[in-house]
Amino acid sequence: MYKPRGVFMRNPDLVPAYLRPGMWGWILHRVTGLLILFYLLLHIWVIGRAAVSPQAFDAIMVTLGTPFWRVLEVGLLACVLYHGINGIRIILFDLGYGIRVHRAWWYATMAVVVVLFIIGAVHMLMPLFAAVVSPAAAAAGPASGGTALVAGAGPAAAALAAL
Amino acid sequence: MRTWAWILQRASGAVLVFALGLHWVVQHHVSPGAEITFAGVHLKLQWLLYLVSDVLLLAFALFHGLNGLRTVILDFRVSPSAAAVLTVVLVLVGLGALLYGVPPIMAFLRG
Amino acid sequence: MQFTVFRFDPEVDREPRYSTYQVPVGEGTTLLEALLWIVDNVDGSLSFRYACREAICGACAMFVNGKHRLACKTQIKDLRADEVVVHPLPHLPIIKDLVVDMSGFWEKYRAIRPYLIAEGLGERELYQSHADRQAIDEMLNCILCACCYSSCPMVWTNPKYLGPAALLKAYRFAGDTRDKGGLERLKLVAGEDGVWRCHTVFNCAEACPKDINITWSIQALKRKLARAAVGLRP
Ligand code: SF4
Ligand code: SF4
Ligand code: FES
Repeated sequence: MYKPRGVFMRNPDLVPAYLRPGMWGWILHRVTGLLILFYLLLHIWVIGRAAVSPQAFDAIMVTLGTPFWRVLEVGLLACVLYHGINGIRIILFDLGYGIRVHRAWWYATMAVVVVLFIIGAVHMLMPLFAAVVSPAAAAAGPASGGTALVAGAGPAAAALAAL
Repeated sequence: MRTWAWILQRASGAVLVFALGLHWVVQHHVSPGAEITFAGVHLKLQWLLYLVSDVLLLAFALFHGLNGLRTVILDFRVSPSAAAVLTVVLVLVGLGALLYGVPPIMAFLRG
Repeated sequence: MQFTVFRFDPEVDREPRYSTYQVPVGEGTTLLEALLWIVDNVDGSLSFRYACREAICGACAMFVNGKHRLACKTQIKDLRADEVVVHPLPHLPIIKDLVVDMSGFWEKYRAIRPYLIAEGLGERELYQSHADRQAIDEMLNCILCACCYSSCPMVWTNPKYLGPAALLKAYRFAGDTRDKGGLERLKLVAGEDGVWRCHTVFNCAEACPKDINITWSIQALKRKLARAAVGLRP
């Protein structure tokens, strides 16, 4: 049996293995919420700086199309998906639904988040992978999805190919 | 007041889930294949729905985010006077960000 | 069976430490019996609280093998472990060993006016239907052991938060058809330090040794307050 040491010795319930689903749900909700708020303020600032002229805006958009920012964007997707869907779970609790089966609801929430995240992440990262596997195919244009993001990967594919 | 902060946090959260869905659909599916360019955004913003959803998103996201931050801070031991100062500061930050954030959207609208 | 017990005597120790004991356990031996065996046979300096030894007084709450438990209600065999690790209730000030300072807990319990506010007391019997009484059965099961209180992350960071047990009791009366406290009662739990500090983490419901879903009652209070705020009948 594990004997907690350090801060955990006085507060053994903080040992990660002892945390319950509701606690994880809450911690994740906090962390994603704060990250999204940080992003939002940054976003307002960047767009405010960028929208001074069409050229400035388009230049920044090209930068944000590079793989590094794409991957960060996938992180943002994870945060927003979790915060939004867990938020629905919280609102349902507040309306009085599901309180007696709270554990099952958390697992259901996580399942929905993971499924949507995989779909979204594949969508967003497809062009990057395509560029690695075959730069020509990526340059030829979006084969599937046909979203703005897929098309927007043109410069990203070029950048990766240049590496 | 605390009761309303709680109710509005839920309400704005629900609006955000809806508005974000709309935002995403419009961004990625209404004009498929288009790169994100100034002209493209300009065109899309002409569409009133998009404009409304974008401004809504900004205002509601700011409220939801800053009100949430207030809750997080008040979860720690904070004296009532410090809490009052905090509320004023967060309201100012929110209004400032809104004033900074709306003109760019308008800039897209003018083209 | 090996028992590892958290020890701390603020008058002597500068840091908490563990004591280890070998205790004979049989079919049905409870944790409380094992602790008493240690005191009787090995180490008389070990301190802990108990009174009823049948899960109705709430004195023997502690944190054992990763969970909040009542020592008297916990059978060693049910732990299914090769060792028992015993801690006092986490996050509360320690008086000695497994004995924690509960004064904050009791203060907040008092703050919600934990008694019936009734009209016509002494003139006639206060009738209540079977169904109305059943509606508060769960809240009446609370033995004020503070497992929930010690498990709540809002209590850890904000010592002014009323905490799950007091709020559960607030609903025990707010949901009692005989109580005439009405809005006055709701106001006691409506502030920054009341129900709105609860973020439905469910640690309390997970910790309660009497299997009470405390969050359900707190949510019911929130709904009453929200309804009152928008002008509906609470
Ligand atoms: S609600 Fe449960 S955990 Fe909390 S004090 Fe009552 S019996 Fe103990
Ligand atoms: S449900 Fe509320 S009262 Fe219970 S542990 Fe969580 S925050 Fe605390
Ligand atoms: S001794 Fe009374 S509850 Fe355990």
